[in-house]
Amino acid sequence: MKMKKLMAVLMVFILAVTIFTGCSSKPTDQGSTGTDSGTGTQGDATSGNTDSDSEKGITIRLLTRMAGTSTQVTIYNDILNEFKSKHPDVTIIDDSQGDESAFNNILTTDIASGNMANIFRIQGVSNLANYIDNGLLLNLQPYLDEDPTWGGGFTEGSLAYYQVPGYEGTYAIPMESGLIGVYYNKDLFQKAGIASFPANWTELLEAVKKLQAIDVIPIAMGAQSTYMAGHLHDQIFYKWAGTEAAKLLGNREMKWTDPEVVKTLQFVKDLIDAGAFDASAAGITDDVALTQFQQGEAGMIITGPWNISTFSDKEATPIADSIDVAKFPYFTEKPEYQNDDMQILSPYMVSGKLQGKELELTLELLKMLTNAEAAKRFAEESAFLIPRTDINLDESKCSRLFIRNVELGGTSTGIGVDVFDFDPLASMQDRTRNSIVSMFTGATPEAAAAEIQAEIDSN
Amino acid sequence: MIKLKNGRAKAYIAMFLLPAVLVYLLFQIVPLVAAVYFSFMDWNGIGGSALTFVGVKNYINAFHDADFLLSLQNMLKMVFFSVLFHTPVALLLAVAINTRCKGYRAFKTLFFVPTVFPLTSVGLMWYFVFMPTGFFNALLKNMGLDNLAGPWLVNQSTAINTIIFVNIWAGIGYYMVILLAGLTTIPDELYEAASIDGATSVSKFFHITIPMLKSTISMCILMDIIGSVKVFDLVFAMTGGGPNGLTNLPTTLMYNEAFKYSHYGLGSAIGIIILVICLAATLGSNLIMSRKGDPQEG
Repeated sequence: MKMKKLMAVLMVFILAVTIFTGCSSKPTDQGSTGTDSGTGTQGDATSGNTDSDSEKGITIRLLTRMAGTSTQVTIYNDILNEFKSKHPDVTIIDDSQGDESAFNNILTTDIASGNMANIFRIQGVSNLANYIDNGLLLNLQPYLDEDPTWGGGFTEGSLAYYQVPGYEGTYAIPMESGLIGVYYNKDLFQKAGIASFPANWTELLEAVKKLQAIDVIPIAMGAQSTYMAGHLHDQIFYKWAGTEAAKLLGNREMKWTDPEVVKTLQFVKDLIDAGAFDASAAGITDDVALTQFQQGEAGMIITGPWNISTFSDKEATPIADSIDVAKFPYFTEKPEYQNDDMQILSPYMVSGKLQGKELELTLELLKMLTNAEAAKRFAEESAFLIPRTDINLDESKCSRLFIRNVELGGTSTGIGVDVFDFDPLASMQDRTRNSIVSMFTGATPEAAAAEIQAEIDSN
Repeated sequence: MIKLKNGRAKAYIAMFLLPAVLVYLLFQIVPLVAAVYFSFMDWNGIGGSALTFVGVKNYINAFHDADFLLSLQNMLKMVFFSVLFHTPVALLLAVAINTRCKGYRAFKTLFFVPTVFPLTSVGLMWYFVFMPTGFFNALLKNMGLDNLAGPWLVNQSTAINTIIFVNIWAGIGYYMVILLAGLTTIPDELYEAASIDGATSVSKFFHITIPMLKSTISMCILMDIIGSVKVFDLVFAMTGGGPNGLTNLPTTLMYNEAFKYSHYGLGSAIGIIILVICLAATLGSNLIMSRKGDPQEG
C-alpha cells in the first residue's frame, strides 16, 4: 500500500516538474542570448582564437529572412556551417523565416520580451531610436573602425542609412542592396511594337495600351501580397515627390492628404483604370504574378534583385533570355527626380545585450556573412548584392540581369526604400499597403489618402 | 476502491488536481489577468519600456475605430449565418443518418471529414478554390458562366460571405455528430407509441425528436456562437483579413493590433471585448434554457 502511495506522490511530482520545465523560458541547450555570465567582460572583437572551453554553452541565434531554397540561402547556410566547423562547441539556432508574417511574429515577440536574437534585422529606420534607448541594438561603429578590412568596405550611403539622428554610431550592417526596378519581356515588347522600354510616364501608358492590344497583361501584379502594390506606389512616389519626401511624411511635415501625395496615389489609380493589371489583381498573390511574368503572360513586373537568380534560370523561367531590367519611368514634369530610385536595403543588427565571448563570436559570424569574400560569392552565385565597394567581381560569373541591376543602381542620386520606412508608426506598413490595394477594389485616391492619414491622426 | 480518512482523501484529491489547476492558472487565468491589465495600459511593445495607465481609452478607441466596427459587423454576420445553417442542417443530416439507411456509415464519415482537418488547411484549400485563377472560376467558365466568375475573396459583396460559407461547410459535421449522439438517447418506445397513435414522420420529428434534443440543440447553438466569435485561422489562411480589412473579424484585428502594430493596449482591449461577448452569449443562452426548462429532465 505504501508503495502505491509513494508511486502516486512520485507521479504527481514528475508531472509538476514536467509542466514547469515546459513553461521555462528556454530549453537549457539553447542557452541565453543575454549576458554571458561566464566571462562578464567586454569581448575583444579582433580576437580570432578558438577557445573551446570558453565557447561551451554559447548559443548564437539568428533571425533573418534567409530561409528557403534559393541560392543565396544556400550560401548563407554554407557560411553558418563554416562557422560551426570553426566553433564546434557553439550552438547556432537559426530562426530565420522566409515568410514576412512569420518573421514579424518572432521579431515582435523578441522586441516585446527584450530577448533579441544575436543577429537579426528590423526593416525601417524610424523606430531605431526607441530600440537604442531600450538597449536592443548594439552600436557597431567601434567594430567597423576596429577592422577596416571589413568595416571599410561598405558603401558610405548604406552605412549612413543606419546612423540615427541624435545618436552616435552605426546600428546595423547593410547585407542586401539593389535597385527595385521594372523587369520586362523584350520579346513581348517587340511583338507589341514597343521599340524601347518607356522612359517616362506617358510612354508607359502607351506601352500599357500596346501590350493590352496583343492580349498580354501589361504589368504582373499580385496585390493580395500587398507589398507589390506598395512597391508600385513607392516607385511612383519617388519619381513624383523625390526620396526625401518620405522623410517629410515620417516626421509629419507632409501629410498623406497633401495634393502632391494624393497625386501619387492618383497615378496608381490611373494605371489601374488604364488596364495595366490583371482585372483580378487584388485577389492574386505575388507567386501567381511572378508566374504570369515568367511564363510570358505579362509584359512587365516590378520587383527587386532577389528574383534575378530565378529570372536568369531557364528552367524556372522559359523567357529568361528575353528579360531585361530598367528603372521605373520618370515624370517629364519632375526631371529632378529621374534618378530618385527605390532600392532594397536590408540590415543585420546585433543585440545590444551581448557581452564577452558571445559578442565576440557573434561579430565573427557577422563578419563572415558580410565580408568581401562572402559578398563576392553572393553576387556571383546568386545575384545578391551586399553594398560593398571592395568586391572583386568576375563579371563572366555574374548574370546579365545582375550586372545591369548594379549599373542602374549606381546611377541613383536619391535612394528610398519603402515610403513608410521613415514612419514611426509600426502600423503604417500595413495601413499604406492596404489602402493602396483598396484602389484595386474601387476606392478613390482621396479615400485611400484619407484612410492612411486617419491612421496617423488617431495615433 | 481505497477507503481513506476524510482529511487524507482531500489531500489526495488536491494532489491529483494540482497539475491541472497549475496548467489552468498558467495558461488561462494568468494570460486573462495580463490581458485585462494591458487593456488599460499604453505600451509601445518594446521590452523594458514603460507602461502608461490610460484607463478605458483603449476601449473607447476600439469603438471609435471603423476597422473594429466593421470586424464586429462581420462577426455578427458570421454568428447569424453559422447559427442559421449549422445546427438545422446538422440536425437534418443526423436524423437522416440515424435512419441507418444504406451506406449511412460512409455518409457519416464523409460529413465528419471536414471537422478532422485543421481550419488552416481548410482555409487554404478553399482559398485555392475561390482564388481568381482557382477551381470555382474555372468551373463557371467551363459551364459558360463567365460573367459570374470573379474575385470571390476580394469583392466587397462576396469576400466575407465566402468565408462564412466555408465556416459553415467546415462545422456541419461536428454538430452532426453531437446531434447524432443526442438522437441515440431518445427511447425508441416514444417513436413506437407515436406510430401506434398514427403520427407521421414529420410530426414525430417536431413533437418527439426536437423537444427531446432541446438541450443538445441549445448546447450546439451556444458552442456555435462562441466558435463563430472566435474564428481566426480560417480568415487568416484565406484572406489575412484583407483586402484592406474587409474580412477582418475582431480576432484577426486583435492579432494585427497587438502583434503587427505593437498596439498591445488596443489589442488586449479587443481581446477582452471578445471575451465579454462570449460570456454574454453563454449567460444569455443559459438564461433562456433555464427559463424554458428541459424536457429530458422531465
